[in-house]
Amino acid sequence: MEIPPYPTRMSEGVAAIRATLRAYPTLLRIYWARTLEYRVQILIWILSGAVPLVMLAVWLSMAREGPIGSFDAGTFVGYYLAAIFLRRMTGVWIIWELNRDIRTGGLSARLLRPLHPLHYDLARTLASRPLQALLVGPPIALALYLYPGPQLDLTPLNLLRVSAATFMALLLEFFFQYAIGLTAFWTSQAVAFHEVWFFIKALGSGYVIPLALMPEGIQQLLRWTPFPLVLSFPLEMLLGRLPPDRIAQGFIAQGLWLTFAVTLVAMLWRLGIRRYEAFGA
Amino acid sequence: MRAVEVHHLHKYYTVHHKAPGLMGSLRAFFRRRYRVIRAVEDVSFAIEPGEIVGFLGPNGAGKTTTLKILAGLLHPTAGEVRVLGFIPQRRERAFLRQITLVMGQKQQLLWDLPAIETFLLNQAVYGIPKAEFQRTLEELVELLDLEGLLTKQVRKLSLGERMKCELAAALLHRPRVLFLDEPTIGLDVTMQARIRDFIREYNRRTGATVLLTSHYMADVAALCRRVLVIHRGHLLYDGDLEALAERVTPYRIVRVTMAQPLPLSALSPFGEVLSLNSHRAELRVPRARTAEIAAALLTALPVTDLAIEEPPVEEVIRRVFAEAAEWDPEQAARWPELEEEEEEGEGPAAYAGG
Repeated sequence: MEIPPYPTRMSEGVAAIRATLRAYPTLLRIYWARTLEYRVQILIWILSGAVPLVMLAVWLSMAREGPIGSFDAGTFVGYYLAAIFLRRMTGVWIIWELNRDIRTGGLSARLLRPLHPLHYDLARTLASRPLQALLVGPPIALALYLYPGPQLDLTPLNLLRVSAATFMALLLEFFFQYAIGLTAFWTSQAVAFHEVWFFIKALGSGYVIPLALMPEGIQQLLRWTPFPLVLSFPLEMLLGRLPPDRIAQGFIAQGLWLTFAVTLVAMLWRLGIRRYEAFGA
Repeated sequence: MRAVEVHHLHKYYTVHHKAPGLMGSLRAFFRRRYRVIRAVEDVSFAIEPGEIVGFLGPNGAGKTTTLKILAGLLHPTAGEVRVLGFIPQRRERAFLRQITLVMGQKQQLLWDLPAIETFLLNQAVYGIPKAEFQRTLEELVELLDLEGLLTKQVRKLSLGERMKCELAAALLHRPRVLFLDEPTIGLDVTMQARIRDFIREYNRRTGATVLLTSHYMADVAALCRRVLVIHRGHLLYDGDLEALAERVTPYRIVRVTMAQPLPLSALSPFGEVLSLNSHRAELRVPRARTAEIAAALLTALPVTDLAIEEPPVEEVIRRVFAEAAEWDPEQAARWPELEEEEEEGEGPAAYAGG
């Protein structure tokens, strides 16, 4: 078992990116296998559809008298059923593990491997999507098909746009949550930040109440935040409720917020890791 | 090029500490008191390629801190460190690809999947070519006897089986330098021996450099000719394990078996009798006079078998630490806090550089 001499540095950066890309297929496959091991988590995914369904029942009983704002009964059905599906496609769960790894030193093992630790979490996040789509997609599609009324814009162009916006939403969620998770370098309260983020997002993203039904002032305010971009934007696009200029604005806003979030993560990482290296764990 | 070079390494931590109880917590909330912990102080040593070196010291002596600095996980406060010519803290890919750090207490295996999945993950992460990966894996399976374990879920493996898989996972990329922190902790004697044999064999086959810490002196005695003894952040001794034994334990053990049982009074003129069990006895004799006393025993008594042994390594190490503690009795009295104390004085110099 002789050791081959290590080829001395080519351009370190290019080599790193190439190696990272080459590692991804394996990362995705292994985390896909891991996803299948967590059967309770899968059950929770399915049950978490309950919140929109309860909201839907409330709105439907109110909409019996006639449409509320621009929403009639059919719109509500389409909105909440699609919300369940899109939420599964964009929901991210990384803060808890990141927090634990940083605080207990589990991060060390990853730091010693030639791949940035973020990629394990990103691969894990991406790898769970197909199964979630497979489990939640068909019942939602069936319900939409059986219930007359909901209008979705299912033209190929729109489906493509919605997919792109949903993927961007997923990345936004991931990088914002990663930034929150990185606060564990400084505080033991990272999980508390997560709860704040989660609560504001539930309201600000249109998950609980469609943003279009909120007071105009609040809608204006939310337009300056990333929250509508992680759910409401692709959701309303799927319902065919967005004019073309709003669609363009949405994509631009997603791009800008993603740039911001990635920059934030890079900055927090640099500062945090310096601290980690000073104190150890 | 040397495998490891350490020049005047220092590592200090600042920690805040808090009095126990409610009031203590409240006070700490408003005004934190900080204290400097000197985990490593002015440590220098070098390791040549292919050496196996044992790193000895009680808990909190600074062993793990030093290993983490060498692996690039911690920044030194002062001093210079080179591993294979790299500055570890930069964690360049070329560096990470050539080292490994195994911590017996921490694991990298994916808990819910079979170990082979972690191996494949490492193959991808380290970019190990397929043929090379297969070859290394087969070798590791043979050396560590992993047959049948690789496809079992990690959480269903026993501690020893898991440790073997951890070692394999850490060696798939064929590192040239191994930092092993308590690789046999918590394992039973058979498994400890097995891991030991493996480390020796890996070193023999690959010429890799190994720096290992262990609480089990048997590990160190079996693997390492050279030891570094660290205590309260200071390097007390760097050199041959046998020379260390000679220096701190100026005696040897003579074991005799006699043709018939003899009374204590017949043996005690030859040395301090440690044990006497009908016709077997153990004597402690001055190191310099060992041969002379052995000869005298053979002529004076009906001896059928005689063996001269070094004192057990535990004894040697215990003496090193005991002597180290003597140079400042006040600090020695507060033994549990030792790693946090400031240290001055001549003590370490007495052993350093030996």
